[in-house]
Amino acid sequence: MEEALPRWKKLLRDNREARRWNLVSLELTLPLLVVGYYYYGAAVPRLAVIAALAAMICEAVAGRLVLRRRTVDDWNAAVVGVWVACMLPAGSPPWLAVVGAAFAILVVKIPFGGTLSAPFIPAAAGFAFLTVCFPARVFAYVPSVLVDPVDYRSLASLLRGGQFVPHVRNISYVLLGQTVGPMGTGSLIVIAAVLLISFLLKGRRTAALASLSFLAAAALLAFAFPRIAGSRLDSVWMELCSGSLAFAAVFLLPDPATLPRRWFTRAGYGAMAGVLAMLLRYLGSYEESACFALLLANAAMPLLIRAKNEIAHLKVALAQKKQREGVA
Amino acid sequence: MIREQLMAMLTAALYAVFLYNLVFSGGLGATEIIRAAKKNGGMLTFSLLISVFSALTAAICRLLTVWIPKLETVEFQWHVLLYGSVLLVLYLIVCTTLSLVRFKAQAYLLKYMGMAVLNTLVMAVPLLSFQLGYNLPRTIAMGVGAGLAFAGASLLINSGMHLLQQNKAIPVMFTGVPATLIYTALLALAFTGFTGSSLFGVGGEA
Amino acid sequence: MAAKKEKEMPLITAKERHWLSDALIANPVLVQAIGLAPVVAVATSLRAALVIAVVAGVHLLLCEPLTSLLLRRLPAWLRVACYYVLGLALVVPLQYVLRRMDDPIVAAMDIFLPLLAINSLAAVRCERFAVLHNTPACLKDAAATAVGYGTVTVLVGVIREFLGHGSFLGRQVITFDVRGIWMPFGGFLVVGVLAAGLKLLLRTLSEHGIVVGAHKAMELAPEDREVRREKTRKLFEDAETRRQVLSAAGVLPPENPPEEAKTEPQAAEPPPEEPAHPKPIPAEAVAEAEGKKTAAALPPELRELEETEFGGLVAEAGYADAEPVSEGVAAAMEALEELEALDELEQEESK
Repeated sequence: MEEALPRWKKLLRDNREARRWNLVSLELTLPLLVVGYYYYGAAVPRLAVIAALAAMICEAVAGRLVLRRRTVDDWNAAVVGVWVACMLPAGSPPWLAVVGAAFAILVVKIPFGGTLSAPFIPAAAGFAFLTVCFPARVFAYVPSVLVDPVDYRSLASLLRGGQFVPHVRNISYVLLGQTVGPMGTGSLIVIAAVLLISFLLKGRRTAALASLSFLAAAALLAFAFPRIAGSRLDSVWMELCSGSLAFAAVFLLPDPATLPRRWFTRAGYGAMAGVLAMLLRYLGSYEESACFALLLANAAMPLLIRAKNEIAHLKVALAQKKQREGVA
Repeated sequence: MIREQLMAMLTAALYAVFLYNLVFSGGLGATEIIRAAKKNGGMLTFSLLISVFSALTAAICRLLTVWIPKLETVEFQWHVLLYGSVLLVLYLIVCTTLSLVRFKAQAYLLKYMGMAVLNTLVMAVPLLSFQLGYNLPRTIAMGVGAGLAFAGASLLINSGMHLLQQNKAIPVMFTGVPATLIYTALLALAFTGFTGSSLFGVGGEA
Repeated sequence: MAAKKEKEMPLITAKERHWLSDALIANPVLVQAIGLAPVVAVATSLRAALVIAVVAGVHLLLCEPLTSLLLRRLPAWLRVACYYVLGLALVVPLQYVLRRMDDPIVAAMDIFLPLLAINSLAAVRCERFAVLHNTPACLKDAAATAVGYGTVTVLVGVIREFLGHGSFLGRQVITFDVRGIWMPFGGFLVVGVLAAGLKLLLRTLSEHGIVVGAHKAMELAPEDREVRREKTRKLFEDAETRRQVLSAAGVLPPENPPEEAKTEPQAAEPPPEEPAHPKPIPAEAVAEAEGKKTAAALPPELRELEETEFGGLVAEAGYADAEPVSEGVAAAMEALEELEALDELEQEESK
């Protein structure tokens, strides 16, 4: 029977697995930072480094004081900090990234026991916190320094306004991340490449399946219920390329602490998160909602797994009862 | 016409569950949610009672306002007194009936009635529907939505509590109530993605 | 913490704690998680928090002694309605007065001011404590709970006003604006962090042997706790009633219940899926049971009690559970809480 997750055992037994996972995650994030540097300049790596350092300092101090053990050497804090920074605009003040990273570590990770124990994805919660507390700053996107964007509005805000813009049909424009948006999540082609690599890497294959399910579910809803007047395919393109949706699917979703164990449950989890992300886009208050969707999916998954287990137990109990009655 | 009414009712109910989740965006019934979530059984009974009483109270209050138009113009505290009295009378009638009629679930229902019915969530529904200017069908739907919101919230928090109980890595100072509250806070953060603000708009003043 | 091996440890009960220490140790918000709704939803400024604290405190100070004096004979469902009526009687005139004063607090608190009438704080404390204790004890408990609740509410209000606005009592101190803190999510978060802080504070104080009226069990060295546990167990050995009840609650080891209890036909019945509502135990039945040695002579009311969640769990099952019980059973409940506190402490230390 699949159980809802005591992954704390992994942390206590072997930190190497966590470290390996996190270092690979950092390596996979690097191309996004390179693309961001190309478009927005030195602000991108600077913000990423500041966020990573802030997260690591928070984890080092809080880990010692609260958890009474050294937790920072698994590099998870650095990954969380970098991911929070990637979802912010390039012109964000450093304190914004610091606050987001600190929240992710001090509120979402440490109180629940650190890496592999947090019930929510720390980077998603950190960004959600920033969105709720500083919405004006989080969506204050700046245009690229190198490429003149056709439109100074982000794709997500255009979708929210129900506006279709023809330049979205310029695939290279959209896939290469030349639209206005978060500093590290705009290049869909890089994210797709990372997804492909994840399928090739041992240990990340089924995690990548969750990401694929997320994107497939989001694409399906975008196709079925377009927010814009263009063709349905245009709607799919715009939805997948806008904001941090694809980034959340490929990088945030496969968090080992919250990912279910079996491949089919992972696929279901990804699909549920994709549906929630699109629902929040249709009904929610913010133009970027993927992180909120991930938090809802994190909360719902243990409930669904427990419900599934209870039903399975009930079936077994009924079968045993029938057997006893048959014998009697 | 009926279809439109039904759609309006469905919208009002879904608003109460998701967009203006009375528990996570309003903080209503927080104590009852956590106490209900601590137990493994009884959550659905709670939710049903909340739905029924919210809907009934709100409907009766709305009808009274329709039958006695003067009530629309009285000051807010008299509305409070009226709605509170309606809820109280309803509660007393139901409890008295339950205590007089012997049936299997009598003791069980009476045990939960007080906490399930006389709480901030149930009382808030008629007040909110009056403030939002809902008509009768939408008022009833909002009451039903309140029960659904309670059910969803308590199930989510209950599953979270199970998770936290299995998690031996939680530091000692966070075990129990602190971890539960922080977990609930993060759940509320997730639901803020729908509303973007507090249900009561509180906080604009210093 | 010096071990007190030579000194005979007295049998300590909750009565020996200073009554005001319950404001901290049994804090209604941070420990018991009751009365959360106003704190989480509306305590976003110091002024609003003060209103909540005063209203909740007065409501409690009225309800608990009244319950102890007059209401304990009523059925629980009717008692809860009485708390609500008292709350309405308090809140409606207050709102009338505040509106006349054109106070901005009223506008800020919106519909939550009337909802204070239905705050779970008074109801839970009355059902857990007031129905089982005399009026002076209820007054002390109400005072301690009101102080504890008020302190936490004010603290939460100050923190949220400062972080949300950068102000204190309406005066801008620094330019700071974290919107999320005003929302219920911020309220839950602040209360959760304060709860963790309180837990840490109590542990630290007990580890350093500083007596703050803290639970005396925290002061004992591990070896002395076993002595204390044994003494508490012995308290029940003479009273068959209490021992049966503690066995059913799983506190005493399984060998303790007598063999007769296992073969007793009624005790062998599977417990109902939902716990049965415990009927009030007549004093005569308790007295009769205390003299008996075998479970076969246990009256039906007490046998039924074995199948329910007893001890501290009875109070937690809902307001309607705390029916008036005899003094002997009330003492059993108290001692059960002591044993549970010891167990919890040992589990924490073994981590």
